[in-house]
Amino acid sequence: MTEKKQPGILDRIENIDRKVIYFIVTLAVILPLINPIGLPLNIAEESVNYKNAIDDIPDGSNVLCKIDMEAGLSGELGPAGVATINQLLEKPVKLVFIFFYRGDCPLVFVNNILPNVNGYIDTTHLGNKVYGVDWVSLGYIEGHESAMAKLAEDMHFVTVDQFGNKMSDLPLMQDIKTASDFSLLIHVGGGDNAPVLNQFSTPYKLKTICATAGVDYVGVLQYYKAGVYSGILNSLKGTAEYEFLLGQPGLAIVATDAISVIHVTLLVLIIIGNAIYIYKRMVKKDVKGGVTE
Amino acid sequence: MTISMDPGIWLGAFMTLAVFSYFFGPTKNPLFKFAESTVVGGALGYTIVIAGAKNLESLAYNKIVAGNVILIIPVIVGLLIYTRYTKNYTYLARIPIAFIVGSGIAVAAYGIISTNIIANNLVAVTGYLVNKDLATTFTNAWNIIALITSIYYFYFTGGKRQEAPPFTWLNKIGRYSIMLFMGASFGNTILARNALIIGRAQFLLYSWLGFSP
Amino acid sequence: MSQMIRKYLPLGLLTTIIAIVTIQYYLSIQVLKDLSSTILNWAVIMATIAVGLGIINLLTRYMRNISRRRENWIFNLWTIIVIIMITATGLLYPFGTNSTFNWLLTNLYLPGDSSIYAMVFFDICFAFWRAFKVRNTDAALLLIAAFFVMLYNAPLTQNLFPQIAPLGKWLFDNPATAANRGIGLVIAIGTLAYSFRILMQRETGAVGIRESTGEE
Repeated sequence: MTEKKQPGILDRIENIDRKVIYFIVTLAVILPLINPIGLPLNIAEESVNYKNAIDDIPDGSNVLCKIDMEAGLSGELGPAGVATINQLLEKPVKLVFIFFYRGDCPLVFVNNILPNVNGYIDTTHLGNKVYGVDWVSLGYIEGHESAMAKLAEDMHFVTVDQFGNKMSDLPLMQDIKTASDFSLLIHVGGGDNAPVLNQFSTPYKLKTICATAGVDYVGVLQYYKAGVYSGILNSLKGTAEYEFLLGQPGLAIVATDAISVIHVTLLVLIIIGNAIYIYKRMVKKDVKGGVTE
Repeated sequence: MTISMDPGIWLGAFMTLAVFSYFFGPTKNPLFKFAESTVVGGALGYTIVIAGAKNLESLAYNKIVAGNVILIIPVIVGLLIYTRYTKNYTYLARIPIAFIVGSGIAVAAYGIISTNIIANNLVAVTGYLVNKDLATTFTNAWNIIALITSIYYFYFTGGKRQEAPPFTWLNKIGRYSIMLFMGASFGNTILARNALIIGRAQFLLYSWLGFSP
Repeated sequence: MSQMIRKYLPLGLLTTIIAIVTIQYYLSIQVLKDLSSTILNWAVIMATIAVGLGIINLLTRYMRNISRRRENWIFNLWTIIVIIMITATGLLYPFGTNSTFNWLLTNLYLPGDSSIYAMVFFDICFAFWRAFKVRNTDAALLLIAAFFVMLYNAPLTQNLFPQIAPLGKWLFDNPATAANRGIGLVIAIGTLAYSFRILMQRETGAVGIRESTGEE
């Protein structure tokens, strides 16, 4: 009869209850948000180019804004949407908002993003911009890439906007016929970067910038390096850099300390976990039977 | 620190904590199932209203009422998709599917050629041939090797010919390049996931409990 | 006649639509452009009508669960109640602008949806502890790349290790992007090849026809 080996200290650490790990990372999230440290930021070139692309918009031109994120992404890209609109409100440009990703994206836009914008009163006014004259939201359009192709070709493809107003009642939309009537496309969202480029940017040679989710960043980066995007923001980190450049600290800058602490916590977890694993492999190499996992 | 008195924020906080009870209580507890079923119901509700009714009004009804009666045809053809629920007329659903799939494929194919292949890959790869200094030359050489071997890995893996060098080396380098890409992508995904949980924590701490950022 | 409507009509439509919409991008023929515009218009309307398919499927399944009192039937009933509440308030004209509809979605649905997305964070953290081990060269490369990228992404480590952290940026900009281009090119060529097969009617599954029997 073989004796059951007592778990050593390393086995106990390795098989620690998952709730302990959850508790540790929860503290890593909460504590920096309550007591920010205030670490310096290194600004990436892409973030500078994102801001400059908006600064370089000619006065009086039209900007197509696809601030298109579902509820799940609003924590990550909501601050980017807010900061982008804040910068746009300082310029004498006209804004058209479109949504293709999911049906709740206009809802997130109106309820999570607009109320945090500078000078927001209600949906009739965004700062000094009047709805229908200076800005319009066309609402969600079903059909994904086919709908994008159709809207780019004919901006009056939809007959009512997000709030039920007829297109003929919106003075701004009378001068806009196709995607070529815009001087910049701003895409804040994730998941449908390629269709936006395929249907708006490339056929109409529309200058495009993008604030993207972290999971899509590597895919978006290749387009930035090829010159298809003029500027990009990498998730909450890029948004924090952008807020810093604008001089308008928001939720993203506050979050950078939490990002740092969580990253360091995860790096420590991975180092300890792998150190235990490698040590056990080295020790068990000398013992008959080798690794018993 | 002043706790919010807004019932909407309290409801939002309740929903947030109900979902996270999955991790700190028994998994799939009634609170989590309640939150999950509410989210499913909400998603379906807005889909019916926004993606269904509002879009149909905007794209079809208003135009038909304004005189473009030919749009009745796509409405009728689109309704054929519900013949999937009949026993004898299921095949009629293939007609609207052909429209939807065909137009999707065509617009996507054009986009892939113009943006992905020409604007992205061809333009960028010619950039790899520009060498300003030693560091750029080394980096470009690495990029070209990573690009070619990763394509090779997908197209030419397997078969007796590929079991001997140099094919095994190309295969390995391609796989290692892809691993570096996956690792970098995964590292950035951590940033993305951090941002999601930070967003919820900010809502709970700042909007609900009243901590100041 | 039966074969004509069941098989050849949808396949013929599919081929014609792909051909017209693709060709009009490359040839400036006004008739083709107008036809393509009409096709896209009709396709978007049909896609909007097709939204109901998933809803009907789910409602049917939930009603069956409730009538047979299967496990978790009470939660299925709650889902249907939520659907009715939101749809009833949302369908008040103009659609989707009612304040109760907005309030319900903002405070009931949006926080829950965001939280469900955020759940992945905890699983990733536990995976970092238990699952991500350097078992072989591939795993080691993956972890090393992730390690340097994480060093670069966190401002704390960027400031603590100013010489090492830029390696993460270099990894992003160079080998990761190059390999991603390779993968992207492969996916693009594969998608084009599959699209061409659909155009040539070699892939009938796109419209739901099984090749072996010719029926669904």
